[in-house]
Formats: sequence, structure tokens, C-alpha cells
Amino acid sequence: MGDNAVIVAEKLTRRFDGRTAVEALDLEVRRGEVLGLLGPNGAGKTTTVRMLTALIAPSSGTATVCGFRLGEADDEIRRHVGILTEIPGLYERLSVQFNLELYARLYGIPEREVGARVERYLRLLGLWERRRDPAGTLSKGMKQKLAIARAMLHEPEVLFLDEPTASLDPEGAQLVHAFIEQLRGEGRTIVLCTHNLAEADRLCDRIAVLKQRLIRVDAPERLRQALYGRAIRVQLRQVRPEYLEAVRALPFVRDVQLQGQELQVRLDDPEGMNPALVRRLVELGAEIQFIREEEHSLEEVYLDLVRQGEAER
Amino acid sequence: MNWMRVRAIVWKEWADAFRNRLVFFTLVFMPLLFTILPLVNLYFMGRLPTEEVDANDLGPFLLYQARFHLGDPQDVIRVGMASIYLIIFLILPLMLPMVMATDSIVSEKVSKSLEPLLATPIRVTELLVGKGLAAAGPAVAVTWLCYVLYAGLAGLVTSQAVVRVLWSVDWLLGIGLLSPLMAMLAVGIGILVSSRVNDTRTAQQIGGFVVLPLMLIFIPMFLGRLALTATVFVVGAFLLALLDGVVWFFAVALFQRETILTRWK
Repeated sequence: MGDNAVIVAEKLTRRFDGRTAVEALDLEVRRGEVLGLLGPNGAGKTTTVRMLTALIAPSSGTATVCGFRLGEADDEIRRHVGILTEIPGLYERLSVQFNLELYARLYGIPEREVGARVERYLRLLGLWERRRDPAGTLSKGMKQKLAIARAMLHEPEVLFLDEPTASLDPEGAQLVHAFIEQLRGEGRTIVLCTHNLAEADRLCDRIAVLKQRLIRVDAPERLRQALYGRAIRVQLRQVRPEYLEAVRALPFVRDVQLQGQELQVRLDDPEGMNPALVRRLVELGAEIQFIREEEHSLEEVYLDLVRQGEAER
Repeated sequence: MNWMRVRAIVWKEWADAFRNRLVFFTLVFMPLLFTILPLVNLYFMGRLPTEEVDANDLGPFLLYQARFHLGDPQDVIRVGMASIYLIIFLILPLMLPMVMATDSIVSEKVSKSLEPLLATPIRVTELLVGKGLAAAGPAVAVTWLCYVLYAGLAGLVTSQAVVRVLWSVDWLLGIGLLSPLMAMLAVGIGILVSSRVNDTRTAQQIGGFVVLPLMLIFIPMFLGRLALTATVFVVGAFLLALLDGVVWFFAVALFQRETILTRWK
């Protein structure tokens, strides 16, 4: 276990009536990072979150969360983590303020601090003016913000967000994204389950792709590099066969393909080697119109990793 | 057991329930109705001409004559009728918590509010005690209050002999002992039923159907085989406590974090 790890799961497994939801999951979440948990429906993301928040017990394996071992100090784990469930689960007949006050008391916040703490989070999330309204009268985005406030109220070390922007309109999603970025800026550890890959790409320091088993975990950029390497695209006014041969002969080029008017060149260090590549092409009389780095969306990375995971099973 | 957390749950339950019209009207109007109707009945019974009552008409109520030393045959009939209303007062602590408990649990299931609640450090026993107290407490209090009101106002509409029976140790013991036990039974059954259905009214109907057999124990009373005396109440309380134990054993087994999140439908 690294000194910086706030969650360490070892061979965490959960079975339901013979069906394996999560299998031998080894995962480390570092303090202050935003870790994205990606995976198709039924991949075990929610089950993983439920195990790591001590809501359900693993069938085998174990985990340490905030220094407390699952099954031995579950109450302590619950005290140190916050969870935003996929559905906010608010008490819709009760006021916004009452919803938070209840949780403040359940988390053991001293009675004299309850009011101030609730006010702080309601103001932070722009809900103070609506504090007396029944939670059921809020818009979906506001309900989600209230649920985030509820998860944050006891200032947990780790925040689990399960599909925080599912069913939100773009404006609501943007509000939630902004708040997550703010939390990230404060150095809060966040585990984010999402199907929204653009959201994961934007918010997460690392991505864990899960399909019952952990397929891969790394920073989005490193996942891209690991899967595809780095490549540049050079668009030429006119392509001649000798250009292709000359580029292929360069020692730092791993591969080159011709795609229409473009050369797709794979190389490890574009920043260092691009000048030599461009120089060589110009020497041969090539007219370069554009040069850009090839980009792969996280969606491509994710789909390839899931396929890879299926093939390895 | 952290009583601060239990108290927080109780307050939440009450705040939520009293914003629900069905629960509110059930808690207020049903007890009122159950208090007024017996009084009206006793009032009109007091208007029966004495000569119309024959000793042969006393039938099943004869048991009360000896037990409470009642001389006037009309008093015997009045006490007999009052004993039937006593049963109504024992139905109150069954119905009211059933409505509250099923509404509380089913609405938590439907709104998915149990998962975030269970993610807090609250223990399931605290949650269960909080929900149980919130549902059973008002029901027992309302039952006792209604009975006191009924027995207190009875003097205005019926004979002193009947009032004496209403305030007798036997019947006070019955109301005092059986109401909490009935309420606990209703909450336990409410939890069991609510774990399987997703609609409050269905839960209440099934719950009502489950407690219906309990009413069978009153048949011997109507047939004149059983008078509601202290002995009957104590034995009844003992049996009810056993039944409560069985029902709560299953309710507690069902009310576990893991079960709620993975097994409740």
C-alpha cells in the first residue's frame, strides 16, 4: 500500500446468487485524485462503490478505506466517506434544510454546529434561497446539488459519486462539473462512476475500466499512449511514394501509413522529432499544408479496452 | 445505541408523516371517530326502556354480571357493548402504526432514500428503533388518550356502573398492556410486508389482511365464552408478546443493510 493511497482494494470479489458482480478487484485510489470508474452496465461499478462504502460486504478479498479495514471498522468507514447515489433519494416532502439537518445529525455533527454547517453547504451550492421549500419542488439539477451537499456535509475524506450527471440537462451537468472541479481543486479524493466519457476525460486524473474484473487503470493520456502510441498527421499538397519511403527510413519513426493526402506517422517523441521529420520532407520537396497530433477520444480508448477485456476472459 | 440518531430518525419520520394527508387524517380522524361512535352508542343505549330488557337477552354478556357485580340487566348489556368498543380501541394501535410504518418504508423504497441513509454511520437497529418508535409511539399515545377521553366522557351519557367498568383495573390493564404490544406487532408486520411491495396501499391492505386472524380471538368473547378480565388481558399480552418476538425476529433479519440493498424488491 502506497503512503498516498486512501483506498486499497485487494482481490475484492462480490457474488450474488452464483453470479459474479465484481471479481478479484485490485485497486488503489490516491489521496487527492479523481478516479473515474468506467464500465458498461452491469460491470460492477455500483457494487464496487457499495463495497467500498461499507454498504455491502465482499464475498472475498478485502479493502482498506481511509485507513480502516472493511468488515472490521465499517462505521468508521461510513464516517469518513460520502456517497452520492445514482438517484438522489431525498425526502421530497421535507424542506431542503431539513434534509441536510437530518444527515448532519446522523453523521454526528455537534448540535451547535448543525445550523452553520447546513447553511455553509446550502450557500456553496446556491440553494440557500430555497432552503424552506420541499425538496420535491426542486429541479433535477438542484436535487442533485442538494444530494451532493448532503454527501459533503460531514466533510468526508473520500467522496463517491455514482452517475452524478445522469438525467441532468447540460446546464445542470455543468453546475455539477464545476463543483467537482472545485472539490478537485481543494484536493478532495473523489471516485466518480460515470458513463459520460467526456465527463471522465475532463474531470478524472485516472480512469479505471471495469468489467467484473479491472481491465486497466491509468491516466487517460497514458491509456491512449499505451493503446495507440503517439502519432502525428502530416497533410501534404501532393503525395509521392518516395516521401513514404523516406519517412519510414527515419530511425525514430515506428510506423507510417498513407491515408488520402495525409501521412500518419507513429513516433514516441513528436515534440523532439517533428523538426527532423519536417526537415526531411521539405528536403524531398514536399509541400506541407498542416501538421497535427492524432487524437483518440476516451470513447475509443474505453471501447477498445472493454473489447480487450472481453477477449482476455 | 446512539439515541441522538434515533431521535433524528423519529423527528424525520414525524415531519414526513404529518406532511402526508393520508397518514395525518388516519392519525387524527380515525381515533376521533372511534371515540365518538361508542359514546353515541352508549348514549342511545341509555335511552332503552328498562322493561324491554329481559334476563334472557343478556346472553353472552352474562359473564360480566358476575365479574363486575352488575345488578341492572341494562348495565350488563351496556358493559357488554362497551367491551366490544374496547376491542375497537385495541384495533387503533394496530391500524395507526401499520399506516405509518408502511408509508415510511415503502416511500423510502420508492424514492430510493434508504441507500444514502444506510451510507451514514447509523446502525440498522437505530434506524429500526427510530422508525418503530415513530410509528408506534403516536399510535399508543392516541389510543390511550382516546380511551381516557371515552371513559371520561362516558359518565355524561351512560350509567355510573358502566363508567366504573371502563375505569376498572381490568380494562385499564388491557388498554395499557395490549396497545403497545399491538403497535409493535403492526410495525413488525408493516416492515415485513413493506419489504416485498412497492405501493403503500397494497402494503397496508396486505398488512391488514395479515392481522385479520388476530381478530378471531375475539369470537369467543362474542359467543359469551370469554369476558374481558385482567386474567384474559395478561394471558393475551403474554401471547401477543411471543408473537411480537417472532415477527420482530424476521423483521430485524430483513432490515439489514445488505438485505435492504440487494434483496428488497
